[in-house]
Amino acid sequence: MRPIALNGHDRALTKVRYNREGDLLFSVAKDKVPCVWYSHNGERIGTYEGHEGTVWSCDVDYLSEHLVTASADNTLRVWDVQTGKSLAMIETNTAVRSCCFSLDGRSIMYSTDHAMGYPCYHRIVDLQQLKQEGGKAKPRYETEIKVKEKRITSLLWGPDSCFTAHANGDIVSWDLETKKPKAFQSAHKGIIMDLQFKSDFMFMISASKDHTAKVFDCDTMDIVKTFETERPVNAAAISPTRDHVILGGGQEARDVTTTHGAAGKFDARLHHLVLEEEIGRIKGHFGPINTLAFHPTGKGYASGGEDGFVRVHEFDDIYFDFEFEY
Amino acid sequence: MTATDATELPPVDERLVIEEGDTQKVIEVVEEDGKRFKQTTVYNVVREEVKMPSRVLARRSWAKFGKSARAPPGPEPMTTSISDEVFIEFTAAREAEAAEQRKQEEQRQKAQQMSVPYRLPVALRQEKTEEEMPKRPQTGAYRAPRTRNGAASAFDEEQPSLQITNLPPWTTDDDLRDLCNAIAPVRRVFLAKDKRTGDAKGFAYVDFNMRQDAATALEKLDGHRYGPSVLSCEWAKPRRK
Repeated sequence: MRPIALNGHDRALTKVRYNREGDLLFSVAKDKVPCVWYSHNGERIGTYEGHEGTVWSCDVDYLSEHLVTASADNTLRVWDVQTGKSLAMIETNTAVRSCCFSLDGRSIMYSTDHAMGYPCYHRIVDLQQLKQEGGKAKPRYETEIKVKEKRITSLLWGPDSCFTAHANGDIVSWDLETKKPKAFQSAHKGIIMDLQFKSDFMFMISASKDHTAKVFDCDTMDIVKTFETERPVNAAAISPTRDHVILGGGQEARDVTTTHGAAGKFDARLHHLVLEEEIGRIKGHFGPINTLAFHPTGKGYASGGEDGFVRVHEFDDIYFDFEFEY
Repeated sequence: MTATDATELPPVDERLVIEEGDTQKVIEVVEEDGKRFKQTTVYNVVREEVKMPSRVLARRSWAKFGKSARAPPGPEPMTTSISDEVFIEFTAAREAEAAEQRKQEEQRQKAQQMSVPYRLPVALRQEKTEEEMPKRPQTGAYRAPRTRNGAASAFDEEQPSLQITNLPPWTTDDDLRDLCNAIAPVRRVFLAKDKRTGDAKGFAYVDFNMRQDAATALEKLDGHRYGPSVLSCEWAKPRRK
């Protein structure tokens, strides 16, 4: 396959995301300007200008009308996907680390960093209210996490409940009525970098700096599968069509200059979802992979690296012909 | 209209498109070396129906905005590029290859031990090798020690590469790749082409991942009928001599 390399960012990528149909690809990086691309040919449709700091996360709603971005300039912004206009903004006391839409696209959940004496906040706001009242809109839901080591690094909001991944390696499922944790799993020994659903919302996969990725049952929060590697895992995604998992990572950015390129292990790794065994590797990035997303049809994936490139892959027939022998 | 107007040729950019069923005829005026020609090109039109959700279709015609606002339609070379071909390196293949390499290494060592029944002590050995050192070839061109005296290295001899000859001139890289990929995954394809016309010269080199794959391909491709010609296939000779 010949991946499309997207060079729209000057700095390390933090998140890539496909919309529901998979025709649009959103990318955010540490360089302040989120981009949207056509996924079939890599054409850049536009950029969303307004942030003044690293953009940590983004999410697009079900109808691909709104984009929400979380930034280190202490704001959360909502954009009109088609025109790039900023529709609403929430100012917070600390950096907004993660954000996501509810499945119906009517609410936004976000979390802020624990810094400068402020705790980590976990909030839900109503999109309509936010568009009307702007930053003054009162959050519908709010909890605070006072321990710095337990700050939220990643969020997910499924059909039944919402999940938070924490810096100390915990994953918590929340009851939004009582604001109490429903289920809890101390899954990892290191910071959790990424949390993603399988397309059917039955399972989710976490990626952690402790060199492992784990698959959880969303109902019981049991660890179902563990994928062990020899490097920090920054991103993990489950294929929507095949029993495959893709993991991306590599050594820490600060160690990159002191080691040989081949030793960095910057390739994406395919694992079998059920058997946990490695299937293959795909090279390409010359820095660690920070984020991964499967195309909703499972025909390809996009990866964003510390090197500032997004690579959009479309699998060859050899991938679809491949059967794992066991 | 004056007489000069009547003799004036139609302008260069004039283009006439006639559509007839599955063919499209384009008649245009081209200018070459100050002379104007009428050029007729007939295209076969292949229509492909692609189904996509109406929302996706609507999004295809969005106007660009932000930093891309002034960009023309289509991908911009500044931000979008097609990168080099990458392959999924399947773990099973990699392990099999590593195992095969280990096996070959063992065999080589065994063979070496068999042919050298007694190893001299280090001090003596060094003396002897100096005596036996082959003289520098008189040609003056540098050659790596292992390839001197026309000896190809063991490494080259065991390359999983094939030489395919008698290919028809319209063969392309992709044709060849498809042909060989059907037998086993191919690592590299080199098709010799005429520099001027771009036609295939008739021979090609194909590298497979494993020696065993190459052996299977050799068996299948030698004498294989490909279009009007019968292919002939053999192990590629070492690249350096």
